[in-house]
Amino acid sequence: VRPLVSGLVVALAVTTAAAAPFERTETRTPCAAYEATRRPFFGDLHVHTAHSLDAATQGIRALPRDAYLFARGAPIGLPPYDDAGTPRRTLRLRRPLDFAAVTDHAELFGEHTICASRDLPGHASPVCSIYRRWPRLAFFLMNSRSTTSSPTRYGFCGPDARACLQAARTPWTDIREAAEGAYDRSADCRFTTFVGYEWTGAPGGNNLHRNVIFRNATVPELPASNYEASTPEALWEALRVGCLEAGSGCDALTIPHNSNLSGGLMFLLVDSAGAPITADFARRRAAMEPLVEVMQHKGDSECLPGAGSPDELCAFEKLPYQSFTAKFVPSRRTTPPPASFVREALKLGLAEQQRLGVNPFKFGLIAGTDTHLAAAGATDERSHPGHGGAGVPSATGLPVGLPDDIELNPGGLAVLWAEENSRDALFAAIRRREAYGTSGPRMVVRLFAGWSYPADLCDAPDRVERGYAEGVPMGGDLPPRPANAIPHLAVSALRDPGTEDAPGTLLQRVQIVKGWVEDGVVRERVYDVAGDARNGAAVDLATCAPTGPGATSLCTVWTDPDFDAARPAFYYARVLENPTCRWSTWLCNSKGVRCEAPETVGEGLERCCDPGYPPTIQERAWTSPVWYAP
Amino acid sequence: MSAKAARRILWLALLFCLPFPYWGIEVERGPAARLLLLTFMTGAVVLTEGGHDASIVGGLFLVQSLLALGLLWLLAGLLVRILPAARRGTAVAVLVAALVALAFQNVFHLPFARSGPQANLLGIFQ
Repeated sequence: VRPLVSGLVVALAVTTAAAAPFERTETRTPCAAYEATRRPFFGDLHVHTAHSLDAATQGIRALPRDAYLFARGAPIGLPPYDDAGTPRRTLRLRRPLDFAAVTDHAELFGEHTICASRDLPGHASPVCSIYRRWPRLAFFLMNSRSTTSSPTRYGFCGPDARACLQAARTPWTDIREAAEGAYDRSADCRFTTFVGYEWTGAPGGNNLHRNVIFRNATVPELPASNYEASTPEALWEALRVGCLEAGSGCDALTIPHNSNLSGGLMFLLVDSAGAPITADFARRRAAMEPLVEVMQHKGDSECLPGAGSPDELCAFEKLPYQSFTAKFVPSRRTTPPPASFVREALKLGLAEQQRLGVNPFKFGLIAGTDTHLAAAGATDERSHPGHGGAGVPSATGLPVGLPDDIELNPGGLAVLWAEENSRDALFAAIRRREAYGTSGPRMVVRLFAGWSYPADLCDAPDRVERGYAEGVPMGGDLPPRPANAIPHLAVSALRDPGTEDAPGTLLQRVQIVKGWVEDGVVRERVYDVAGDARNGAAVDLATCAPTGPGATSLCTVWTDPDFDAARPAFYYARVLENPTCRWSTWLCNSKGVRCEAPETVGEGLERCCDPGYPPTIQERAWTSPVWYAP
Repeated sequence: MSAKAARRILWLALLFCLPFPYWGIEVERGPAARLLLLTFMTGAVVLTEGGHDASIVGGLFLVQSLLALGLLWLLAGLLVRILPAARRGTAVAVLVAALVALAFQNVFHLPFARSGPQANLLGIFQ
């Protein structure tokens, strides 16, 4: 019977392969649930575990398999641990994720393994002694050394870094095996994993980090880290040689993040050598980087309020420093340059398209957590335990007061529109940028752009089919313009229903953010297109209970009143929930803090009353843009 | 007990038992002896591995170590002057005992340590 069943499975797989609108690169049981008009899948493509040095030196013990179990709904132990090795805190998602990728920092895989393994040469080196006795100091010394523009290996790595590269195989194998073990290859297709890692270049302390995501189980023998490829171009080249053109079936892409900490370097119009970018560079970047992470634990990178943008809603989860260095050396803090932000890059990309014929910054948008606790998708403001990493460590004791630096936040989620929950389907969604990010909630957002959607499309039972048939979804390019036509954007949003014990929040409004080039100058404008900014919704700050009206769903077909057919443009949707309490407010309330009564402000809770951080936020979603080219 | 011997004993006790603030990425309040150990270890890394950031941190530790050694030497001298010469031995013993007792409380704040941010003398060097 078994051969017969196997044969049927293979036959079915082949049949589905022929029908699928995406290339199938792996042999697996076809998904029972397949929707040609696609479904939203919620996940997290930015997760660190104990294989990252900056997590391990904070006492994190969870490994990739624990991160995937957590993402699927199991509880996870968080530090500190007691003498018996029992975690003193646990965390559990209210709803499991659909997909996840563990993306540990690849730079110190080998060094970290050697320092932690008594039987490996190099274990007794001064560096490893510091690693074991003063982990916080090691965190700084080892990270800062490995992320520079010309990193050098430690002596104990031996000639050609052979010892460290050999040791790096252990965590890399574990990461691959954990991804394979957690990937649901059954017809249920409940959970998808991707093999991945983080490339951690940060010249001068300015963040250029990228997550590398592989399409399937065929991956390079070792990841190309900042040691092997110390510029983004070198990383893309290493991936081209070692993966894309290796003839092995390997496929990969990179997702930049935390441009807000890049000191303006993430979206430069010059390459790493300082030469103006060329059409070839732009083409390579656009091909390798279809998405950018717009928001995560270490802040929002959408846009800069004030100098960078007149958009007041840009003042959301902003960091008060422009680089890692400035976080630790306050005297070096300056206002982040506008070029550190994604919206500015999208605008610059239009101008570059005019100059080069290619847009280097043609990004779709997602969000992530960047958790360093292996807590994939843990974005709940009500119970934020901190995410470690650049935040508050908890290796040796429960944090006193706030569990995270006040300027940080629980991070967000990535959402991919795909036919089924499989690696190939999700990877194809990333490639075509049919993706959006949320700051944590699970609202469902669709955006289509075309030239002739009817005004009542929202009421049509076949609106999704028509959305695809008569236009393009988020991430796409508007088709050639018919004479005298203007862009029609069909946008819909469903509130996050939440769970029984933690219901979601009503929607306030939907906005369209437009960027364009006018006489060589980049411009932007934000339009409210559905909902009501003054709906009267509010929050009781003492209890965090929301009050006032809002929408369970919003949908509209918007036409651009300022459209000029001669000007290239992009449009993306931003969906806003009614105000809710920020994580810090939930926590400070739970500790009994009342800022008008100083005696209630305990140790470590002083920043509960910092006026620089609002007690409420408006959770949101950002869709990938659609582009118009004359 | 001679003034010189008393000063040396007190200096050593201060080095190991008095919380002394220093900066190196984060602020610690630990015994100066710990700062010396950090300086030694970071110095070993700088000498064997080099590195820009390690050199800066090692340099900061070194400057602060020299400062701590000097300040505590002056403090020990001041204490010896204040103590009654006739009962110097007893007074030094009492002072040292008080410092040791202090150091066995969780008076040190050490973000770098495995022992935890709040620690006592045993926790630091265990």
